[in-house]
Amino acid sequence: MSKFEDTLWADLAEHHGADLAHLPESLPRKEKRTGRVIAVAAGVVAVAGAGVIVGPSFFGGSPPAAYAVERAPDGTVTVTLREMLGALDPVNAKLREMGVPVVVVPARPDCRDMGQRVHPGPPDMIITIPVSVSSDGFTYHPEIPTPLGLFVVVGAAQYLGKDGRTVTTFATGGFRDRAPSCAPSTRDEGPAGPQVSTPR
Amino acid sequence: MKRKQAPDRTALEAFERIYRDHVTDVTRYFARRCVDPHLVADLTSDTFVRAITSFATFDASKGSAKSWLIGIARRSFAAHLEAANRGSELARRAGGRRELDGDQLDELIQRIDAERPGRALLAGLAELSDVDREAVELVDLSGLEPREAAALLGLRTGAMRTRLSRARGRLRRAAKENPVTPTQEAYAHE
Repeated sequence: MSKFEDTLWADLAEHHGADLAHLPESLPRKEKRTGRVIAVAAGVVAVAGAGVIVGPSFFGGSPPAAYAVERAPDGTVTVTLREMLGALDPVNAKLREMGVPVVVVPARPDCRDMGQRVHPGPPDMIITIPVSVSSDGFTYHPEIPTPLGLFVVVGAAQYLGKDGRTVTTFATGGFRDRAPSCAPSTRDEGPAGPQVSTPR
Repeated sequence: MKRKQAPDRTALEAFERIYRDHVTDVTRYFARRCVDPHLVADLTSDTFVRAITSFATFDASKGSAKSWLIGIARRSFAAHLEAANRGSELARRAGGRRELDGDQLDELIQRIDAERPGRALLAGLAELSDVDREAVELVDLSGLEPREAAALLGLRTGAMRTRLSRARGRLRRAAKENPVTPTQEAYAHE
């Protein structure tokens, strides 16, 4: 979440938490999470079971991997990112290797031009950007054509919430004819996105 | 002095999950309507205060949390417009505006900027009725199911689909003649 959203939550919990005396009856106590989140969690389990976790573990023992990149039978490619540190370069390398025209960048202050995206590309819009995001990562949908000359970028930000939990947020965007300045692949190995055409 | 009741931790966690999943949807809803980051912040805050204080009435069997929150956002915005028309909004905001630091202002300005295509899309539907315009926004921009949008607008699902079809057709024709934004281009190529 953004700083604004995190601050707003802290205020809500502090000033209105006491208003939450009861859980709505339609939300069973054993199912505190929403359906969407449960579905995401189930997806992560499926990834682990299929043995396609490609990320190294940063936690020792047998913890969840820092990241995972998985291609599903329908062709979609799902990236799950639990720890950004040291993970973006290998994730981008894996995406390039799989032919996925998407680059992941850190949404941080030195990547200010993330705000100059030509298209917000949210998952619930009529989109031309073939990426949907979740609370754990994002999914590339190859059946949605990527407009020529559009770099598809996923910005990822991770920080510690006030409750001590690590919070990761993702946002998609498109850049006409160039990737943002902080996209690692533009400096070293050329764009991971589609071939750049002349502006329309 | 009234002592505050301790929150139900389970309820707080459940609401936090819904908040984290949908706060962006709500912020974007207002960013399509306002270009003032302070107003977007205030309306987003107002929506979640209304939501948290009425959480006990949320019925997941009747619709998604997102649909519930967008419904509250609509009412918050309607209340804002009504207050603005009465001239009382300025005074209220002068006394109760949410404080934002530079980072938060930047975030909201970026969010507002990112919603430019959505605002242009809505502007392109200016000749439609309010209901048709809201139908397109709730389904195509906010991502609600047609049945959820129908419930919010007090329509039957069939009537909603008819309105959507009509509005999209109109937008398609307009986009083919003069595509301005990527979102409108998406309609042009449908």
